[in-house]
Amino acid sequence: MKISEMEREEYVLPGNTACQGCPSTVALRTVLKALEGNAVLVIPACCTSVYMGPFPHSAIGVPVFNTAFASAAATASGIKASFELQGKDTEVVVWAGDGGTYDIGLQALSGAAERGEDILFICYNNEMYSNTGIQRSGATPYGAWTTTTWKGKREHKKDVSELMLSHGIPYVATASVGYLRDLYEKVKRAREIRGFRYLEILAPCPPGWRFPMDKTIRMGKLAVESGMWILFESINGEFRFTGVSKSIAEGRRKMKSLEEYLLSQGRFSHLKPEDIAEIRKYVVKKWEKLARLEGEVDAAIAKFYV
Amino acid sequence: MLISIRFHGRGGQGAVTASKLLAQTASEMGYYSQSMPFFGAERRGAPVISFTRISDEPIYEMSQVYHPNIVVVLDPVIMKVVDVFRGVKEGGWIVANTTKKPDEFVFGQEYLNIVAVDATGIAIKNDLLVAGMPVVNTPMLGALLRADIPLNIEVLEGIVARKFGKEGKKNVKAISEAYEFAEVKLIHGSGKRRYPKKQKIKVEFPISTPAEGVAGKTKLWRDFRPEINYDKCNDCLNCWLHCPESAIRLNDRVEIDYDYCKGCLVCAAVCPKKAITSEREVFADV
Ligand code: SF4
Ligand code: SF4
Ligand code: SF4
Repeated sequence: MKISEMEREEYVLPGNTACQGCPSTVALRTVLKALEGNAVLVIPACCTSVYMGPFPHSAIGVPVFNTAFASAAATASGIKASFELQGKDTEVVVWAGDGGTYDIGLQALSGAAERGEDILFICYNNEMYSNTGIQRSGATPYGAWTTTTWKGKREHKKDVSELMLSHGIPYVATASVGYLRDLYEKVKRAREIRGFRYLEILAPCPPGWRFPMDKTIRMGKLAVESGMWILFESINGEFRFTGVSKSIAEGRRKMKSLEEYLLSQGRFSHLKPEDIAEIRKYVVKKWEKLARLEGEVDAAIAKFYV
Repeated sequence: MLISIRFHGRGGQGAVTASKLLAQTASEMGYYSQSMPFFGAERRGAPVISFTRISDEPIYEMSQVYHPNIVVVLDPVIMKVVDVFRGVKEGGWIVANTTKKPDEFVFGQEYLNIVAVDATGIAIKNDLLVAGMPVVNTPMLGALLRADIPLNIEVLEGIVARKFGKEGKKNVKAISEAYEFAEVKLIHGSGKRRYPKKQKIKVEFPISTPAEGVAGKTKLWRDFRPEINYDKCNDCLNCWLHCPESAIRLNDRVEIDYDYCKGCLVCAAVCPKKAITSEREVFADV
């Protein structure tokens, strides 16, 4: 997809209160372009519910339903049911942060997925509670500094995209703010599929991750290039790596060093070599697990890390 | 017995600390107590409220205090902007940091007890200053104990002495001076307390409409101003695609909307032609 062929209409309007270099606005902008504005957003507590501005105005050019933290997927299910009765094919999209997905929103998400609700659940994952000033979440990676893990988090993240794979839903994919065209195409594909669809976007957040604000896109790419964030898509159970991750999995591209990714962020600046080794172990395991899902690619990915 | 106290002050004056110290005093004397701040935009200088409840039975109320027995006003001028008498029970107490006399207070209740004390003066006299600001919260607690409240000044002083270390002595002195010098008087009010009129509540679904500039013209956030050098630009549209602010418009060519561009410079970072440079922003109009 050429950039010039993308939707030109803007659905995230300028002059909002998001931080400079915000990954969430740029991702949401891309998502709504891909949906050509034919969408209703359900937004639980997260940065977006704040940067869209106070009543009586909204910085988002499609209808938004602001709902409670725990209930985004349930709210979306209800709205979709009403649309179905009215014969409307408007896409109902949950736009939640990792807090509203991994932690507080998890039971509603799992329930809606299991019921096979016809909604698109998108998690923009900046790996912490940034809206309330950077606290750890279930998505915060091992070793990362937050205000509640000020010596570095001692646990690895859980992986909700994997959890969604095991829900057996028709569409699960990951994307990164580093690759907006890939994100655009994935949303387009998800739009063609009916049933519960889950898309998770890595959203490098300058104030929370402590890197300069012009590096948002760069950081999104580096996460994938270093293997820390893996791009994949699973349509009706057919799993495949995509983009740069596909090249890595097929051995056509060497991973960049994990250090380059980690140490360019303030939140990881205190890491000791043994912490990095621990993260590397986790990443290798993840690759092996996913490679097994793809089947054809043998699990020799670990060799990139020796 | 349930005594509810509301503190009014400005950010930085220690209203929250005062309400905590009071709750702690009650607790050490064997009462049940709670203390909670009202969370708003607590910037320095902004009006703040904090609450304390004291009882001889467990307290199950967890709400803000709407009908206090006692109101403590830490800031002499805050009465101009905040109705500190609001909801105070008939015969209740106003403990005010003021140079006024109790007779000069005007309110809508029939009767209120006024405790007037110049806590700012006491703080200055005792050299109780933090960052140039007189510390009024501790002397105000001293004055508060003149109200109808079964707390013991020695217990309060003990806590303050422990808590404030080096500064403890001065604080204790200020507490006892405020206790001693506070003027207490039962004052007749106008009795014309205005109760809010019963209103028909209109239930409306709060629906916002899309608009640019919900945070105003965000150009003022900009430290750096991106400039497109059109000689180098090949219309690849990468800057447009990646701008987090939707501040790059697609007209005949890419154009930066300088009303809203926040100056993050993501556009410059993604431009493959290095066609976007940046300069320090200087606003002539602000
Ligand atoms: S904290 Fe991060 S995600 Fe939230 S508005 Fe700021 S940049 Fe965006
Ligand atoms: S500096 Fe940032 S906000 Fe301004 S045009 Fe470039 S990308 Fe957009
Ligand atoms: S990214 Fe650079 S070359 Fe491409 S359109 Fe923008 S200014 Fe022109």
